[in-house]
Amino acid sequence: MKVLLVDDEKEFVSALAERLSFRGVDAHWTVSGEEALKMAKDGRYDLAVLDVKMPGLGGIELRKRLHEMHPGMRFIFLTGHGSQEDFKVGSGEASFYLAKPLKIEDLMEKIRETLNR
Amino acid sequence: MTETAKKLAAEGLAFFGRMNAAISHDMKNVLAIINETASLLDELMELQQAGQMEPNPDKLRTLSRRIVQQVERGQNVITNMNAFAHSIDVPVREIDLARIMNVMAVLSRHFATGKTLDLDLPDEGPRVTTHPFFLNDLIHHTLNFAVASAGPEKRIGIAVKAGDEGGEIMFSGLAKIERTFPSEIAATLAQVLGVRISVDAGLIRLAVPANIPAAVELG
Repeated sequence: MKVLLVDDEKEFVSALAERLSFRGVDAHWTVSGEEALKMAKDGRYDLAVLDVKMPGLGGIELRKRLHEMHPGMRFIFLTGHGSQEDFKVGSGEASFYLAKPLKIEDLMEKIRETLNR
Repeated sequence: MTETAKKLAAEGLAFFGRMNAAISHDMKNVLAIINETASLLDELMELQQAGQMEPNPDKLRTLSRRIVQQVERGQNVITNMNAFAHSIDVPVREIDLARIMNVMAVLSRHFATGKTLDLDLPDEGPRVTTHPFFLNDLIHHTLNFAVASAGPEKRIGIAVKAGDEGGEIMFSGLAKIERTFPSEIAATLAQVLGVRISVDAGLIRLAVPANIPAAVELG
């Protein structure tokens, strides 16, 4: 499975991608929504894991743009907030919504569930 | 309680909530990075010990340094959060304008994502007697406006210097003025603090008096 990770905290997203690769996930990462659109244009991804709040293109808008580009693409949202409001937005727009810090087992489980839907 | 005092009480609570949310968001990111990095470190060592990966001490060292850097980042946020929390201990007191500006710049990182804040703050700034909490609030409103109005370089310059009577905080690098400043609440804060706001091309200046006007009821 090919997964695109987008989060503006480089140290977080690069480490997460490497850990996912140890678990058999073909994980690619970027720190900006704009760059994510370019990557998605060049290569097809099964799923994108998006940070809700990023400078420039945020996760919610990025999800819309990626969905227009690839209607079959699935989404999981990440956030550092964990507020009720974020939860409502996240639940409505993505298959799953996970709060940071993450447990990799939880993310792996959600990735599998999302792709099996 | 006057209408202004009621408005300020509600605004103060909202401001405290906004700062709490921003600080917790920042700290969650710090914890998330430490969590991922420490876990990656653990997994790399396990793979190397099991002979499934070539030993790479440089990479392990890079990762362990990353953890130390994030602890320092978190420590910086907490130190400034503590200074902010104590800004309501004594309603009106003497403060260092450069120090209070630095606290708000660090804690407002979350609101300034995607923009660079270039701080030009003296080690010892002008000292003014004011209401630190509401001055923090006014700085926060101004900083948010400046960030939203940043020019194409996405950099906001922040400088503090002594003024004719008191001190000045200047925000430069603004280009895209799509809203007016000050907003109603910022204007109210400025009025009770005796702060004069001037908005010129690409620049906002807050002139903070040496002493807060005595007649204002701040609660």
